[in-house]
Amino acid sequence: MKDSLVLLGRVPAHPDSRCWFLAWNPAGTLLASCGGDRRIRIWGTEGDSWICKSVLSEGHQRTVRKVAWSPCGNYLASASFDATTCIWKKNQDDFECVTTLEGHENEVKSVAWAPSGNLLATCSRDKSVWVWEVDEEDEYECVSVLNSHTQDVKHVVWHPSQELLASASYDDTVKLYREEEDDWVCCATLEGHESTVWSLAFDPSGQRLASCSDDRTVRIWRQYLPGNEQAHLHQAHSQDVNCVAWNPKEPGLLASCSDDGEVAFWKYQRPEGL
Amino acid sequence: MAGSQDIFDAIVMADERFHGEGYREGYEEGSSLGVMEGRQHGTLHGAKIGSEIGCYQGFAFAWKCLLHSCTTEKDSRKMKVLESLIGMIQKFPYDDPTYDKLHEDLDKIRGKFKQFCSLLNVQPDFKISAEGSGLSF
Repeated sequence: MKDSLVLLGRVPAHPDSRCWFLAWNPAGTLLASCGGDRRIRIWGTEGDSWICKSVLSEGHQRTVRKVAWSPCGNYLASASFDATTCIWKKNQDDFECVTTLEGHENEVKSVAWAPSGNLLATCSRDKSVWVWEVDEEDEYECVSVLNSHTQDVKHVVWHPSQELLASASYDDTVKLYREEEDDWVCCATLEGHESTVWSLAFDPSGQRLASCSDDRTVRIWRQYLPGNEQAHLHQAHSQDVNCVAWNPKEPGLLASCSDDGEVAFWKYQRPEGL
Repeated sequence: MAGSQDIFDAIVMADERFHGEGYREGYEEGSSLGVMEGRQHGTLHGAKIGSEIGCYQGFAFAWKCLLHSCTTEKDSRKMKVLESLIGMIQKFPYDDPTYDKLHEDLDKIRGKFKQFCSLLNVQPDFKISAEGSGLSF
């Protein structure tokens, strides 16, 4: 039987503007989309079709660039070009904005929840990465402002099992951060890309980090104490590589997509004994 | 014979000699002008950094007094961050422009200041201009 991809449905999600990002909730029942119309839409199935279950407006004054579900699925964070990050709380089918995180000087490019659900990271064109802590009363506090990058920070992602944060930047590097003696510090810088690093992804085991860049390559990084070593480099596409994602179930299966319009699938093999 | 060699040398080498003298004079004058220009540049640049850090320090000391009486748990994080900021400012090497981590430490101070403002829920608008620095809330 041949592989096939069948279209189930198509919906006009963000009229007259760009749809920037999508995120499935952890339960897989809802899809959040966000876009240039400053709104977030939550989609779910009703019978055989996909319908818009709610529209989150009044949260942002400019494009919403990214949305991220908390690990428990009860909260949605939205990062916007208006320099703020909104936290929405799910109440059955409705979402209420419980707080707005301010502090970045300009466009927030990415937001990510740590697997523990207690920490949140945001990054911005202002070159900084902010780490926030949330307590049981839904109060958010800034735990650290990290000014390690020298240019626009495009993406932040947490390690799947450790409290380790990674960021990708226009300055061609990937930086890693952890908490040391009550303060967050940059513990490693991964150099090698020759242009903007657009996106990052840890594999489900957390032993490999994939990064993709404007330099058209995908690089796989392995932790090598005391430093870090690039395990593999591949000329991935003919144009900028925008995103890279590990399959959550099949080890070594990696997908990448590019400005050249293609999606490439890769099989990463670990060398023996490592 | 040696005498006539010297006379001709004086004429033949005149161009080169004057070139050399001119170069040396120019180099000395250029050096001293360069030192003056460098000093002006350094003064301006140093003043900017000093002004910025001085502002953070004043801000930190003022808040230290204001928060002096607060003892709730939430305030303990504010105090910790405040003490950390004050510590960083005091450790900053003001008299060593060749300190290799100067900009790194300055960025850490800026980050700490921003974090502190976020905890206070205060949005400072720090401006440095030729007329002098100002901090508005």
